[in-house]
Amino acid sequence: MTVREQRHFMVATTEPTIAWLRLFVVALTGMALIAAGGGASPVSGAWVLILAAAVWASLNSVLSLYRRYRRLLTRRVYAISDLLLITALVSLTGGTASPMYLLYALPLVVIVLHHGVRSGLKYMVASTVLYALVASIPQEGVSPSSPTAWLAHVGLLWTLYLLLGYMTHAEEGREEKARRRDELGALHRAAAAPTHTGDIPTVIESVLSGALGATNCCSAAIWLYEEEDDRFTTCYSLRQEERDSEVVQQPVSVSAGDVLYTVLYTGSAITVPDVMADNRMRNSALCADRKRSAIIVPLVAPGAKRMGILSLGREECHRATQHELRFAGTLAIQAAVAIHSAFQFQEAATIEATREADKLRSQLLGTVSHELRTPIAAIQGFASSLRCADELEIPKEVEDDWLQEIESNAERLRRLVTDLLDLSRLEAGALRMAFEWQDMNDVVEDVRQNLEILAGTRTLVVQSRGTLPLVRCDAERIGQVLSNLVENAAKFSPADSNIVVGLERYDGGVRIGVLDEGEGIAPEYQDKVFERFYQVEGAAFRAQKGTGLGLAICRNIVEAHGGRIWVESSPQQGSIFYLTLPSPVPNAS
Amino acid sequence: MSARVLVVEDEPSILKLLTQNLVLRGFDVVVATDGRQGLEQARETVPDLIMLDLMLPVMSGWDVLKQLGREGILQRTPVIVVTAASREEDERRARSLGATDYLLKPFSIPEMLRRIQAVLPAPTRLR
Repeated sequence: MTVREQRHFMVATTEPTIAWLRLFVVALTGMALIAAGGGASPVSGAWVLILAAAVWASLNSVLSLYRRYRRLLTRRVYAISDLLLITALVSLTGGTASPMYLLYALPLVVIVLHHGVRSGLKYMVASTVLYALVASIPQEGVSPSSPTAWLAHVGLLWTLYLLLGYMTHAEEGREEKARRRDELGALHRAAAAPTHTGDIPTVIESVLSGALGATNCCSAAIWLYEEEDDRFTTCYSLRQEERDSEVVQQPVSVSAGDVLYTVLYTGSAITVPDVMADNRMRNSALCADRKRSAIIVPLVAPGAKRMGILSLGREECHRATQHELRFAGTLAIQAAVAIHSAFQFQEAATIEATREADKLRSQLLGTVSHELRTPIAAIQGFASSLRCADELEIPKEVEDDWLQEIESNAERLRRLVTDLLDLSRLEAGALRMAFEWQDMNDVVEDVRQNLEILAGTRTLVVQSRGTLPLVRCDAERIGQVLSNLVENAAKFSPADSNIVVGLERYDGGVRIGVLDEGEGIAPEYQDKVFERFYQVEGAAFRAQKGTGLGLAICRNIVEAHGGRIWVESSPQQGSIFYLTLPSPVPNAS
Repeated sequence: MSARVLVVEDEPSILKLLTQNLVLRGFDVVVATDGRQGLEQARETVPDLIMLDLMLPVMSGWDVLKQLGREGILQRTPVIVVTAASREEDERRARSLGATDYLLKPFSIPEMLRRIQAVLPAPTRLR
């Protein structure tokens, strides 16, 4: 039965006074029935029922009384009753002549091993005194006990005590040293956590696993508090047996009267020796797991900022020592500072990201403005040159050339605006693709004439390997991608070279490659060429016709199809631009 | 004696626009299509005026401007920055680096000629 159920059971059934009352009523009824029944006692079904009810009621009462007064049954009470029982046994079986005195050794071993040398000493003194009493009382029918026998027995017991004491002491010393080392390790881990990572769960995990490693606790938890909303938001917990796994993170709602708030507001730690017997813990969110005793410490970051609380729980009743409290307090300080810096780190990262996005946006705006201004400058420049030509004699062919320039720059401007619109709609997801099942051979065939025009003096070769699966795509958009790629290939490769468009089955879908024999792209630029307005550094002359948006548009279109686009190339070796189109349900309708 | 003008510009259209207009008006024009070429021409041909774009391949116009200042060329040769960089801080920065004038694209030819006349040293001025 879990702690929570037990607690409810206890609250629901009986107060101790009612338990006493019930016991009394049962006894009274029993006596009345016996008196009424007199000599005649027919064993009927009614009697069996009454008896069963009486046994049930008495058991219940005794159990709840035991629960209520269990706190009184401390180890001291047990030890004293043991002592008295053994003493009685010894004196009844013949005083110092009886070998029963050896029974004194049993509780001694338990006490020294479990509760330490100091408790053992108390026990030894008490047992010596009691045994002396037994020895001093003359026994009937037995020869008067000799003081030497008594001395020998007591001496034996004390030797045993000293031996046990020495052993446990040495063991305790070792354990103590190991504990100090673990505690130091835990504090170090908590302090160093945010220097390795700014991730809050990771920081908390190193605090919690450090705490579990350094104490006998079965569970450790950190409850994070949100100052703005004045509430606990998240609980991170870790159990001893799952120390190497990940910290458990869950959202929480803590009622207003919870002890968590008390600890947080007062800013001072509390210790709970027995969770079940402590009124402060009643209905606390902390009781959700099977802890029996706990230390609850507030987490306060620099500037008196309340970060939350740290709780360390044990499965058994335990009154925390001064040392344990101080360790928990120090760990809480380190943890608070660590979590606080992790939060600040995150905040700084967010601000940095926003600033970076702002910078990128304004950079893009600057680039767009520059790209628009350049053709406008050419148009305005040539137009104004023509207009103020009266003062000069301009050859006819120069005039024609200028008009040609105006026209081509106007065309460039038109393409730029179209591309910009396309790209912004693609990026916003506003451009709907008209997906249809297509054979890629047909798609390429449809745009082939256009591709050949774009290839100009270069030879366009289309190669299709094997049968291709049907893919769902927007034929017009894929045609646009192919046109862009072929145009690019033509732009960067010498006249009379080959441009190859290859189609093949690839991973259930189709892969299209566009190969050229041009100048190629150095590895460091191969990702960047798909960015808007990116120009390969050192490209000798600006590509006159490009808008700098073609490949960015291609990437957006291919990605909208769930495919991928990339380039494989090395300088002076030509490039191959690949794009894949996946086939989500191959050959389905 | 005609003034020698160095035009550093990578946009073919704009380069043609500047060159042809200047040649028609009797200037001796030297061209460069990237920053490094521009700097070399500025050293070798000793122009009377440099028209410099800012967004240039190989070496940006900003770096060219800085280098011209370092080499003392700016002290004897005026530089007109011809650019589409429309932010005010760009103009401020260009002027603080030693640019004599800042001609923002787009511009008209009469405007360009006016600016050139204003910065050219008196004896080399035409007309």
